[in-house]
Amino acid sequence: MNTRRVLTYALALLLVVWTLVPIYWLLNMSFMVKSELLSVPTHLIPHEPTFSNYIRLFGGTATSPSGDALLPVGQAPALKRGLVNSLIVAGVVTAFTMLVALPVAYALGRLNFRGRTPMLFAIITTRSYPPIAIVIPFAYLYIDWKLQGTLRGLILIYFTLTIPFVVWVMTGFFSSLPRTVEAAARIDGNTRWQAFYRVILPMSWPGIAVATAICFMVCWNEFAFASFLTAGSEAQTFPPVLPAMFFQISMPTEMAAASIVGIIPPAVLAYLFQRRIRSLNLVDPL
Amino acid sequence: MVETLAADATGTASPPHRRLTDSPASIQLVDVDKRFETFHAVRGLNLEIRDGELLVLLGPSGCGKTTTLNMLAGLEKPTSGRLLFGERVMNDVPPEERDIAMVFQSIALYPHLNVRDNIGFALRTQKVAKQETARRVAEVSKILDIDRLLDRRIHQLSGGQRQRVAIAKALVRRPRLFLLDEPFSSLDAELRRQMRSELIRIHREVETTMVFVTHDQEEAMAIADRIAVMNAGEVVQLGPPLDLYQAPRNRWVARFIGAHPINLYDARLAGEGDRAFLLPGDRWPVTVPADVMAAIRSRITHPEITVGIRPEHQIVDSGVAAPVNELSGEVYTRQILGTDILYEIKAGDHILRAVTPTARLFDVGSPVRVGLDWSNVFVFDRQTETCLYPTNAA
Repeated sequence: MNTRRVLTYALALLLVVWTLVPIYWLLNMSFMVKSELLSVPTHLIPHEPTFSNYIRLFGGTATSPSGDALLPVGQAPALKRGLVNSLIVAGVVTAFTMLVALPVAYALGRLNFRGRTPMLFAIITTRSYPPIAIVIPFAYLYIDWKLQGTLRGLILIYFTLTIPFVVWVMTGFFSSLPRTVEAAARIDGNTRWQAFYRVILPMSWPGIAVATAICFMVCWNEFAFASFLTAGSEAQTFPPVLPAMFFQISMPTEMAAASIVGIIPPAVLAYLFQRRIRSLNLVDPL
Repeated sequence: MVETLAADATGTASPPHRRLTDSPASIQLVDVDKRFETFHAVRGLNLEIRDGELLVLLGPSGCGKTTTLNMLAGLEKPTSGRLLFGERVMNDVPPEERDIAMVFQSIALYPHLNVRDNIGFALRTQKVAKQETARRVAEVSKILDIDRLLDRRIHQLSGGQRQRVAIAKALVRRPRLFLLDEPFSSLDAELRRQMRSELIRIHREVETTMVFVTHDQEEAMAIADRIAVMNAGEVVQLGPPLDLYQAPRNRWVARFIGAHPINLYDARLAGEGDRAFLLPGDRWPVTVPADVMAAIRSRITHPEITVGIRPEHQIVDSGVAAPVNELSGEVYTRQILGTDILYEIKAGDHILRAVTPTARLFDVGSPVRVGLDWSNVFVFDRQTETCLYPTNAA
């Protein structure tokens, strides 16, 4: 019994280390200047912590400990634009996805109609192939339709990722809510639509919060469509910026800072919603 | 035939304007059918709910009582037939326009609102003024003794408190019709009895028409003005509780109504005389009174009957049985119920039940004789199971 517990904790610790060490190392590097990064033996925490990487990432200048002037990172404009673009895309897509997908999920989860099951299958099927498989046809189509390198184009294509996902998750959530509460709302004088937004939606808040957070993260993290459809254009989002930096041989300290910047929004979201996630009751809608 | 079906499907049954009575305020279900994909839940239901009465729909699970309630609520649409509130056909009126209130078995309260907002929810929906809402919420929560709980969340309440809130939430509406779907079935026995008395009191106070669904005959008997006993989608018998108890229409109702299961004897009339045998193998010979025999003979020609005697009407005494009208047996089990005693009495291979006042105490294993009082006996046709005697069974 005791050996088993020790073993369990040891494995858990190993998993935590495996997960957190890269992030720790990124953080560590992002607060170092180039010279400190190259010092031997390696510093496990920065001896002279500096925000210079972050400042230079956003187009500012800094001074190194040895007095040298440090210029802005070459990718700074693309990075700033990428962050703004990512926020726009993720925000717009998440908002519209919720607007469209919640009523659809409600219908699939609460009403009985012909074709309900095939429709659910169709929706889940759209998520069963890797998005990269359809990037090429979309890229050609977008060039033709002048959507290549536009935020509109990217937003449009992200709906194919987010709507099926939210519909699927929320259909299960809605169908798990007690039916009598809705019946009670109807009898209390609400139309079906009023019952939906006065009773069902408030009751579903944990599910909606989680679906919103995940939906935002899907858009924020998405790489394949973003790099094929927006890379190098004004509409480039944040994820393709990192490989661009990599291929332009930026300093690891700068890349580490850029990575940390990319991690912050989803991390904040995850933190805000973690309590909701724990109370979430996911149910298979089939 | 095809035309009839088409007409039925649109909810205009033939004849088109049939009503059960001319009472202007009553609620009527006229020739109502409800079919689900594979299940015929309600069959040709004709039922009038009188203004102000407390009607109980009583029956085993699957008998169509909840479906009937849901049709009254507008949660289900009749497949055919007409539902009338007064003069108005309600078949296609959605629930939110029916001016009804409903209490559900599962106590459907809104978990995201506190008690006060739950009770006032319907009034807010109806855009009743805030002050008026607050006044009515306070008033109704006082009646139900939940005025101290108004700021609690639903998950902080006990089962009994939740049910009170659910009733308060329905009462505050002052609805035209009050529907209750097994509202007390999730409560423990003690609380259930208490809520029963409370409901009767509330009904006296508000005089709203109430329809109460239950499968518990004791509960039905206790609270109903009238009971509609349902089985397999049909109303088997409709009447005041005592009528159902004293004059069940058939064997099924006799079995279903009554605190203790009725004794049913597969009996046989012997020839043309006044003799019958209550047990197989010509055992327990009895002399059938002339009026009972006349009632039987006027209805059937075959000798197969079922004699029903409620345990509380089964006569038990000590000593040796007379050769006719009495049966010898011994006390097999005994349950002291408080006000009376329930015996199981074994006579040969037959076990019957008898309930006696506590004063008549017999030991387990002691020999007893069992008799019957014809003024409290039911006779059923064994083939059709309808009641032959007493003749006033509707």
